[in-house]
Amino acid sequence: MRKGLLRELAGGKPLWVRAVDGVDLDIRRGEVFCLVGESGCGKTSTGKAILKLVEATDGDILLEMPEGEARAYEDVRQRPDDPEARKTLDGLRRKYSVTWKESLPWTVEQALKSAGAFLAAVFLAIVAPSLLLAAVVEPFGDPWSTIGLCVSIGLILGLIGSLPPTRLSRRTRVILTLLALGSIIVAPISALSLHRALVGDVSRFDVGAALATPWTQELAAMLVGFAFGAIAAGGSSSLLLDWRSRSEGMAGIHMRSIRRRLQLIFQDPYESLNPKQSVYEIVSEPLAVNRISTNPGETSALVREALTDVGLRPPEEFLFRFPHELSGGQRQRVSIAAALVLQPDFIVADEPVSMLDVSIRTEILQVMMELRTRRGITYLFITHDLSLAWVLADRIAVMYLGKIVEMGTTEQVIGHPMHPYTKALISVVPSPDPRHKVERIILKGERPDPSDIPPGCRFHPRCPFAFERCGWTAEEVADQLRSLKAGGMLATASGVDLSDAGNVRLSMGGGGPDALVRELNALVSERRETLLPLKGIAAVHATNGFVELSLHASSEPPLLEIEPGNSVACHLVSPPATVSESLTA
Amino acid sequence: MGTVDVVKVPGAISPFRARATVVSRRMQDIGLQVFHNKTAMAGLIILLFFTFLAVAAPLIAPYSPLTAVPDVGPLTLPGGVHPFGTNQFGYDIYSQVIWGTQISLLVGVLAAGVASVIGTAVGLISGFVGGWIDEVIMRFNDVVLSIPWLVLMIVVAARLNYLDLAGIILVIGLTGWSVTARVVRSQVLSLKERMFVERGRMIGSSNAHILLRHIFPNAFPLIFANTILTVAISILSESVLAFLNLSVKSNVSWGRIIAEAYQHDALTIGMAAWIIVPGLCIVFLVFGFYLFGYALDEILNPRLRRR
Repeated sequence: MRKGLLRELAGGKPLWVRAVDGVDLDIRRGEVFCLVGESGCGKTSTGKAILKLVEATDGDILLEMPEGEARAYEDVRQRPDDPEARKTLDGLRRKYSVTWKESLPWTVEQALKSAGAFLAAVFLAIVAPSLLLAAVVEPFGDPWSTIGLCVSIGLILGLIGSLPPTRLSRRTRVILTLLALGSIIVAPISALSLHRALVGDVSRFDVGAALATPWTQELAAMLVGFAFGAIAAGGSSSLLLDWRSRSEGMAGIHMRSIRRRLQLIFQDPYESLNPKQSVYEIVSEPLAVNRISTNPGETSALVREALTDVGLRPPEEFLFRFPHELSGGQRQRVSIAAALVLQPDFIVADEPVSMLDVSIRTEILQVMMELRTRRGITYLFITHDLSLAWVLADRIAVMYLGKIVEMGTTEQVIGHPMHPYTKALISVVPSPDPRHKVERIILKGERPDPSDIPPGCRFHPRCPFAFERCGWTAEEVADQLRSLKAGGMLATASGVDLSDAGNVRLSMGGGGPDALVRELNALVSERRETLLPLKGIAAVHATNGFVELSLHASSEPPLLEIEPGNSVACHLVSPPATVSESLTA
Repeated sequence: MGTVDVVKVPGAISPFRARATVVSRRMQDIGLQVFHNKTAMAGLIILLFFTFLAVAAPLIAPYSPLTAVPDVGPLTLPGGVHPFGTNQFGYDIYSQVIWGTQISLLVGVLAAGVASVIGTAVGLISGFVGGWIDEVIMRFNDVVLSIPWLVLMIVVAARLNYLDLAGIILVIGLTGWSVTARVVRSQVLSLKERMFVERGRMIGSSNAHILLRHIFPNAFPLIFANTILTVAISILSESVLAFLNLSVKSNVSWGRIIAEAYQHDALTIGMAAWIIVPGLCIVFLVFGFYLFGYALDEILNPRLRRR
């Protein structure tokens, strides 16, 4: 399973929060993959995007992709401009992606063809039945001919409208239904007008009289025909479109058909169970919805089995209880049972034990792990608790502000953490042995607002090891200098502000430019190890009346694979070549 | 799965049985709460009293409501076998009041039913679908709400000129669903953000399934309590229409009795009971529905308190 994801969440009107940004996870069959991060970093959004409970703006969720094709996918994804690669990519997505939808660009030719096809359909649907009916001796003599007319209009519209060269779209059905409704009003009128013109009893095309006749005489038949005609148009076009998208290989994977195999265990067992349903209804609902079991005997057997599996024994005692009559642990078991009853292959467990008593946590986790060995379920375990990840996970990904900062096997991530954020997380995990002392890395500051993500490395404002290239901004450096000035340093400067070009600018105090430059340089070299923003200063130079600072160029560290299976996104572990190059610059 | 302690009970549970078990348990629970709630019981006793009057009217009422009594003439003063006297046609007013219960209750309950069904359907769809459909429905609803509802109803009834029982029920019902729609919509808006709705989506339910099986049952207590309050309003509406001579002509109702009493200056000719008794009946019945409705609202929606 693999996904590349770039999604955005609406937060307020003008503000867009990119809750999860470019996360790539590949989860192998049968493993427990842990997603670790502090609250609000986008773990849950990632989990829900995988199950398509929130729509990702971009990206793929690829299901059951063989190793070779996964590598091919990765390969072609790097070359989006190559038409050949795009074709391969589309093919792979069509085959494995849950989110993929065929998107055809509109061209003038295509638009004209579509419009032509629709016009032809409408024309045929109105004119052909009208002509036929006009030839009949007494049009609308009986209700059946009216209904028959309406249905045939609907069918003709549905058939012609959804044939090539129209585009396949979900809206086609709706458009055709609406067209059918319109035609059903027009067709009888024109038929009657034609008939009268042929018979010759009224002047040609007396629309008013024609309008009055069918509506007063055959109103009921018209209304019935209205409904049937619309259904005929919608139904036949829907069937045709389905058949076409399958035969032309444009169908992709239907999410509803794989819902059964991907399940989610919710974090909050108090909120996620419908208070008006009994345990039996909660657990049997997935079976009914997915039409897995409609036989009451089979359903109740499956429900009992699922309840027994999660340790609610005997199940009879719980079947007709409401959620409010259960304890928190029992509720979470019911929630798990409702996910398990579908026999899923993959479960996203979104902090399944964080709302529970510590005493129950182990039981629930044991149930989950036991089911893994018994049924071979793959887990994506979302947690903020690194010690839990350490116990459960085969592989771990650490997330910070919507990005993966480190990913690898449990041994690699916990045993040899490379990213400063991972190191900080590990150092604050409490140890039961009081003699065992570790140097705690306490992160300073607050988690930044996700709508205003720091440039460069997202973590640099809180990172204890941040250095030149991590993305110090002029504001950060200016703030640091201001606080130094407030503390009595920088006596030779009179003020710190930002120039129009966005550089840090110090206005001169008493001593002239040289004194200020000298003091700044001394200060930077002396304090740069404790006051990290000073590291962002690349050069100090005097301009007319001011001293301006230029800052180091920065970039966002990419997620690099430093050893097989272990990737880190940090400038500290970037390949040495690039480091030395930029240090000398 | 090989576990030993699986209890092997072959008994199949049909969906119907599952639902019935749950509903009956829930009803017992609510019944008990109603029984212990003084307000609800007071309202319920009033309602039962009037329901009894309506059902047993043919047995209790000594005379037919729309035939002149044989022994005395029209406009007899209260006393003797005619505790409230007779009206301008010589009909027994006491019997008329008893028979009037039927129409008031029937119109009230059925009109409230019509209003609730329409309001609930509109509210559910509007709240759940959202988007421009919601916008269109709600703006339309705003327009309807901004017209004084009593005036709207009177105008519609007057325009239609003659109404039978079904007609009067429809007029009251069709002009009274806006508030229900608004209340239901707001409840649906909050319910559809709840986690169990997301759960429903996760297990693969269709929107219709989620709406009917998750959102509607959770909104139902509110709808039910609201319906009972709507009954009170509908009874008042019928009385107003009857007083304005716009209601059913072939049956007697409290509003019509008051209208006739008013036309014949009941107070000045010493027949105060003619106007006061049916008035009190309306007040008490409406009061009963309000008591029961509010108490039920508190029992069913403990977290909502007062709207």
